[in-house]
Amino acid sequence: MSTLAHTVTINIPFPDTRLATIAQQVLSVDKELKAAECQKEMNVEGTSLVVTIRGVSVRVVRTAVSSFLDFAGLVVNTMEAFGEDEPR
Amino acid sequence: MIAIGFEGSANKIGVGIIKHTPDGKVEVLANVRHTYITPPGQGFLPRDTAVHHRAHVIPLTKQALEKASLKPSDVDCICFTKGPGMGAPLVSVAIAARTLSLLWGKPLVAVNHCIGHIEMGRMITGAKNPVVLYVSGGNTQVIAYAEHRYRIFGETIDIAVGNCLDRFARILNLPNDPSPGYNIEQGAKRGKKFFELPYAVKGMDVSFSGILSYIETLSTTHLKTGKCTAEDLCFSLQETVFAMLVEITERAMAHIGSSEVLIVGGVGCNERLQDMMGKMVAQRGGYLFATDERFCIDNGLMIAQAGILMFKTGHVTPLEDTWCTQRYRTDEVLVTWR
Repeated sequence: MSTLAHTVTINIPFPDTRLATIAQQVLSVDKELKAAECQKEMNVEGTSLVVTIRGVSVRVVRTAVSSFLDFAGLVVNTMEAFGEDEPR
Repeated sequence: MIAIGFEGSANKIGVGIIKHTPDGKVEVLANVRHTYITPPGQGFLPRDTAVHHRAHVIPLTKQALEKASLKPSDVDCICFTKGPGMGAPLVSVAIAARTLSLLWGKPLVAVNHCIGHIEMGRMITGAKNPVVLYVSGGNTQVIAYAEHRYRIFGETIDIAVGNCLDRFARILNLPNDPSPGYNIEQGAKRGKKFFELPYAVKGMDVSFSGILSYIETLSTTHLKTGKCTAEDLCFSLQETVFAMLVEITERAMAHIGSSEVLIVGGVGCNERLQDMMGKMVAQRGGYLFATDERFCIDNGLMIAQAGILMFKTGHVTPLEDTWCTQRYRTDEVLVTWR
């Protein structure tokens, strides 16, 4: 654990807690492929999704952040396209 | 009951909607698709393909719902491809499906891509218990059903037949539009000379990588000197690899005593393969079932069809189990609907 020296924290704001929680649930399913080299932690704080990515090197963290943002972007776009249709 | 299906295991992203009525009727409500086409001579890489899928999944979903004239609340379950396929494209599509599932409050059903092809083929053609030849860019399998599993009787021991064709198209610099296999098929029609290539059937299995290397060498030596044309090579390659597939399919028919053959997967819409298979099956007094490119080539509807069959027999995938896997064999799935 102590070797995961490099850390990035991302704060993604959502309109409400429900959507932030959905994003957390959707994005938590896929585990990092090399758990020993990189770890990802997600928490909902208020209406934001707070993501902490830790890795053994800057390179590993950069790759993980880039990949995470691609997927998070898709979640946000999907919510924008379909979230308003029919409130549950 | 209505299911929406999401497919994106290779370079096609598709969304399909299917309806099963209580009296057993099946209705295709929508089946839309977008293909990531790379320039001639280039294959599709996982990263770029994932970018393509992420860009198209939302517009395609809107288009499918519009075509079906449905609201999200009309859908009973959301089906998506769990595998096999390329990692990043699979995950991209799964993430969209998961998000919709939570937004709409609908259950998820994780589907094996190969099972999707088989169930789609059975539904469209009405084949009861066929030997299935599943041939595509990523898979080559001869399959038969027994005891709640689709059993693999024979398969490729290296690359898929479609991969062999796609890569040969790249060697010849044929366009990938509409698909490399289609362009090889058109070239083969104009081929005049047959060149003998290695014929690699190993029991019930087949091998294509050696054939590809051999024809690659031929294309560098013979094409330049004018000993043959690209069309001759397309023709020779098709005749050889399809003869191999017909041979193992015939043996599977003999083993299980079935008179039906169903061809599924992208290579399955090749008319020369259908023609050769048709002749073999006719000689045995059987029936050949095949579909056209709408259903043969990867599509969302096949995932919806397999998924709705699973859903009706009680399958629901909990969110935490909706991860994707690049390797997922056809015989891993317990078939509860037959």
